[in-house]
Amino acid sequence: MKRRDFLKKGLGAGLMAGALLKVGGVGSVAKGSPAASDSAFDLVAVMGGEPVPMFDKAIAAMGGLGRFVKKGQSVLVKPNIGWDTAPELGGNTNPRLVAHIVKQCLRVGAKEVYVFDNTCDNWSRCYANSGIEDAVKGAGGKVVPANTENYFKPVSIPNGKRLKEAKVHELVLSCDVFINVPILKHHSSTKVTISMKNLMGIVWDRRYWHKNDLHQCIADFVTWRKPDLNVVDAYRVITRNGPRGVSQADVVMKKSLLMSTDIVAADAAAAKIFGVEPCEVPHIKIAHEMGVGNMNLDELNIERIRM
Amino acid sequence: MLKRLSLKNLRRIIAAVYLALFTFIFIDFSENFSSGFINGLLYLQFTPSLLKFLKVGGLIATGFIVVLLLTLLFGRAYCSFLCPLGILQDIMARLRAKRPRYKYLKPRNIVRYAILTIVVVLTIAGSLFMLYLLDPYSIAGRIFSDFVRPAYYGVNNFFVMILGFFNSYAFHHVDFKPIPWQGMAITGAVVAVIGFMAWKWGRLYCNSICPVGAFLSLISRYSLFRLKIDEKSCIACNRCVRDCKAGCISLKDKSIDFSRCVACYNCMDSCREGSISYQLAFGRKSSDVPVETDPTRRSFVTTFAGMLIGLAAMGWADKLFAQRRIRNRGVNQGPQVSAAGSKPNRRSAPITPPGSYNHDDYRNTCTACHLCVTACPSHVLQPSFNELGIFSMLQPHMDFRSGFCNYECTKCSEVCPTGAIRLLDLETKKRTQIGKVVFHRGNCIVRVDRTECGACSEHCPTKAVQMVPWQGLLIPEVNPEICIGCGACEHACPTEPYKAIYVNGNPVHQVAKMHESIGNRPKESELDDFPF
Repeated sequence: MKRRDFLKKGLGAGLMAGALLKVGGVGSVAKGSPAASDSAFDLVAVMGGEPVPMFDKAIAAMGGLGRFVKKGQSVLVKPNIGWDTAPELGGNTNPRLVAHIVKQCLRVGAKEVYVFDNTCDNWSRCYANSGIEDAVKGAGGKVVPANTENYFKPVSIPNGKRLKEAKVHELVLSCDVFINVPILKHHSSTKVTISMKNLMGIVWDRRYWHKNDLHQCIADFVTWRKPDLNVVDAYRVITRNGPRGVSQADVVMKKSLLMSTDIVAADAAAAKIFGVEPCEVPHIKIAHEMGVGNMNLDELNIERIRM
Repeated sequence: MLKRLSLKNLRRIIAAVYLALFTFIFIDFSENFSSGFINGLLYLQFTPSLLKFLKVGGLIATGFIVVLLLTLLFGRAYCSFLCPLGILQDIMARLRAKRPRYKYLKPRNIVRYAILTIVVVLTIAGSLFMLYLLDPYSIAGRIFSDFVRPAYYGVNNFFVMILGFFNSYAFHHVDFKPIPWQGMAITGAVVAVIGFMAWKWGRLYCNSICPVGAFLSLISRYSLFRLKIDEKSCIACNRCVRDCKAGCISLKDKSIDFSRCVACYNCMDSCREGSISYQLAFGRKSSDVPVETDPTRRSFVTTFAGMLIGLAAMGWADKLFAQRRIRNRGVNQGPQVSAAGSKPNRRSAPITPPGSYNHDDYRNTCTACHLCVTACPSHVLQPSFNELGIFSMLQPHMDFRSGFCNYECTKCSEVCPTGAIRLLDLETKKRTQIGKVVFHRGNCIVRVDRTECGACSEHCPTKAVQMVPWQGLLIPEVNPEICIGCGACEHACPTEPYKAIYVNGNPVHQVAKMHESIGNRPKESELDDFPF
């Protein structure tokens, strides 16, 4: 009898909690597409400051965050949280930068800001030890799991050459605005990892990509969905032994930040900062050739800011 | 109406709280409890504590001495207050619709002491198989980790799904990595047998099979305080006998066989005359019931012999099937896109977790309680089937199909209660080489398909796997000296059914060399202007 009572009460409490959550907020069904273009610049590059002030300068040059995030919209901020390493090692996006972006999104009226990554190392430890979980929670954002296939929904990629379908995190599908916040790093197999490579963290089956011409798959995926804004953290840059890094000796303080709505342009500029030509990175070249974006920096209107 | 808390009710409260906590540490997937809390909770578990004492020593492993002293004072209180399998049996007996009515049972001394002897001899000889098959702590651990945990995951995932309808990510979904069915079958069979025995005869398992029960009974015979029946006030109403789940009260001579008493104190509560109480024994030997032969014990012995033969047969059969499965795997997969991963690998030795030092030590100390399987955040520790040998079945091994060992983690070594996985500080763990990487070029995507991959090198935390130029592409190159055998490369390698990179276990763990790029200071940038 007591067991039964307990079950009844437990179930009741569960339902109540569920109901309260429903009152709290249901994701909006209607999607407003974020404003595009209208900025004088295709790319903003900042150098010589701390990550947060550099972001503020860059977003101001881009015409303000309000251009991208409207009142009441839901926002996905996607940093790189791939590794269970401390912020000083540069394996993950700078937690202060991520938190700052979350805060700014909320300030311009975002209803909700979500942060997740399909990590390589153990996910809960990555979230915690990268410093991103605490920083984002402190900024009022929601840190969301991406640790099992259940969170990922199948999409088809009609314009992909090798990658025809993928399973994508449900928040990429439901959020109104998608802000990509990669960190620039050396990568043992793709030379560098920047904005496009960072999108491997919103899909489930990465093994398929590795098996089927990695660079082509990376470029194919961007034909499906380009982030509304790319913010490249190039403050602490792993220049060898990437993408995880072995020690701080692998890190060079580049103290830069890049921002663009053109994911290929952002990656091209970041590759230059890293020290490789964009055309030497196959997925940047392929994406350029597929018309996803422009890697020819001399054809772009670039705002350069020294701090 | 204030009533003094009876010993029986005190026992029930402690046992219920203890079992609840015990259950939770064996099913928890969110590291809700600190390792210190887990160590504390398991401090008094007899078998792991004894093994740890023999293996590692130290204050943390003195729990069994406390249990021995407790037994010497008050009898087998461990069996009723702290033994998780004992408490589970009590719950099992309570699930009966009608209140169980127990009878006096004859002692099965030959059986229980024969089993104890076999277990002790085998343990000293170096095989823990019999011990961990019968040890109540380890059985309980496996029940919770292998059976209750998946159910708990299921309930969690159900609620996560419900919360998902309300856009809440407050809790997260969790995947259960399947356990070898042979292991599940053994644990299931043991549970069925013990469950049935508990249902029918109360604590018969504890007094006829359990090696810990048998060992403690040797001491409780000489306990300083023992439960005794006051012959003068006893009216032989039989209530105590009816409630005695150990079946150790004989009304014929108004005696309690204290070697079999599990100190549950049911009899004290049921006696309306107050005739049963703790009495100082003063070294007087309790009137032992003479040993009588018992027809059922023969059947017990046959059952166990049968179980062992069955196990061996199962092992042989599975090996056969496994070979066939592997042979078929490459063929029956339908249209193969790539030939990468079609060449079989032969792992020279299995992989045991960092902190286990060497395979023999590990096999001789692990009781397969599966606490580490539960606690491992990467789910790389999985119960083995015959990877470590058939008589190490269920002892966990590193299963790189399930996951890989997280570089910054020492969880298993923090929680292991037996000393099979000994505590490592993080820096030592990061240098502990549990195996060495092997690159099988003929299976590699880069070599076979001529496209970039590098998943192995990407995941490698020590950079024992580097990508080097090869025909305009980058191909893995391994440096086993700095490899620690964490299996990140093997787990990440996308080729099927065989991996292009894998880890051979080190039967004796070694110390890996350090990568040359070690330093704690980043370099300053040479860029003084934008390169575009």
